[in-house]
Amino acid sequence: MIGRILRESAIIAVLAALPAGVMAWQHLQVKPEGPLAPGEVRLSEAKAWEPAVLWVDARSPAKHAHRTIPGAVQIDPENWEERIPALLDAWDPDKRIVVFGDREGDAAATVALRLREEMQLSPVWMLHGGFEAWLRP
Amino acid sequence: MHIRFCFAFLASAGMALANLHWESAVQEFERVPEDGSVTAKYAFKNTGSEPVTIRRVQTSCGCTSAKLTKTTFAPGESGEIEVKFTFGSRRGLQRKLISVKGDKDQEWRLDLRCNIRETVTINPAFVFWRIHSDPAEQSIRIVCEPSAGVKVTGVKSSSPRLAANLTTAKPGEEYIVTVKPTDTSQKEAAELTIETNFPPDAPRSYRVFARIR
Amino acid sequence: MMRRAFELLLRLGLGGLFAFAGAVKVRDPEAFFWDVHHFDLTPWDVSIGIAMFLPWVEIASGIALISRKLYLGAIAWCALMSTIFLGAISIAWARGLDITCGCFGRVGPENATNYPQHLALNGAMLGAAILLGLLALRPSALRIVDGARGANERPEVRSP
Repeated sequence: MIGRILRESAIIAVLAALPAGVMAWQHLQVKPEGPLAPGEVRLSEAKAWEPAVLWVDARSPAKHAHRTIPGAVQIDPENWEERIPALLDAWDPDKRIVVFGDREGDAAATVALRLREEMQLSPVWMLHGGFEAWLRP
Repeated sequence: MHIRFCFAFLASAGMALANLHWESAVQEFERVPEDGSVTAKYAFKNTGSEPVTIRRVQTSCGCTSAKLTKTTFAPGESGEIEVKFTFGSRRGLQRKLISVKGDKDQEWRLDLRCNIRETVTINPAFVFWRIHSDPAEQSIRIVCEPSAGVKVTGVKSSSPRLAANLTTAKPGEEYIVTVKPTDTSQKEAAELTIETNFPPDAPRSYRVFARIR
Repeated sequence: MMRRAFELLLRLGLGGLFAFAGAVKVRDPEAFFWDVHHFDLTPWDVSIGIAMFLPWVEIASGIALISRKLYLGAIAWCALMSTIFLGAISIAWARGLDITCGCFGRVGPENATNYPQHLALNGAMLGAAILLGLLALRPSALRIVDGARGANERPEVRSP
């Protein structure tokens, strides 16, 4: 019985491996970076600005607490009123603000917009590819 | 052997790339909360030589929905994506990004910006002076919805080095707070509290921030 | 009769669910990769391997269950995947992570963390896989289904 289970499981794995291999061949390749949207900056460029960068983490406090870019200040549209004093304490006019969020999601976009329009801070950039860009090896 | 794979990611937020040309990928609106929602129409045209099939239109929030009547566009053909953003309890500046993905891994990003005007709008909410710069006066403009009957009753600064004064430009509609440092020889941080009489049952105050850095 | 109907329902339901879940992930493998990687349990390359391989195992297992081919192997895979999902979701919950499960791709605009719901669903899938395994290996073990027979059904008659 165990032999049969293992044999059938292995056959399923092999059957799955074939289309998985095709999908891997289609999707995985050395990628050229896509063009930037207005107000975006690539990670490599933002890193070159350090230490004159204020990283702003627009993801949730839970995600920020788990893992973030070193030195990042957390603020998101939900806790804006509570967190803005801390951000302003960390801010320096000689630093460029780089806001990052999830790869998909608009918390970073909203935070960047509010920093520019409401707080009149400049320059404010958004990290191209979000926090996931930082995670890439 | 250590293999590092990456996904092919041909993100194109530059709107002219990969066949679809967008008339206006960034749209801005001003609304009041009572409007409840705003609808933006993003018109595009296939400027390439091959048909383009839109595989997916993805919004990042349940408050935003997108509608597309057809998915494949021949060269030269135009189309439109309709995006509706429902405010809910959101107020102030909002920004919603909509990701549009094509069948050949193309990606476009649409941007919907909406200022859901609050009863009281303060701009800017932050003023600052560099150390040793000219301690010139800076102004903060407070705009109130005329029908709301708002009165700004006062302003207080948490720091004596950053004094604030209130001037009425138009009663019930526009007020000006001027902030002036005594000097800019040292760093300073202050919170300015702007007091109002609105709403009558629980008058609200607003914070703005001032820094010498 | 009731047991057969029960088994058929479980088989088609679980098989269909897994096949659907796999098909949804195959549509956007990069999104599923990030869902896996955000659990923060596997390194980059392993997350990519999972993102490529797992959806097809789900599809193959789902079809195998429905068609009753490679049946025991399909049940084993479904039980294993449900166990792994349960474990991963539990660890993420314990860490307080705010993630999308990715279990059914991006079916809705907000497939964000609803841990009890995800745990309940995956728990039910694991339970269904175990039940199917029991039905396949030890049909007599599931007396509770037979025990729910109606008044019109005759009890089994044993010869002396």
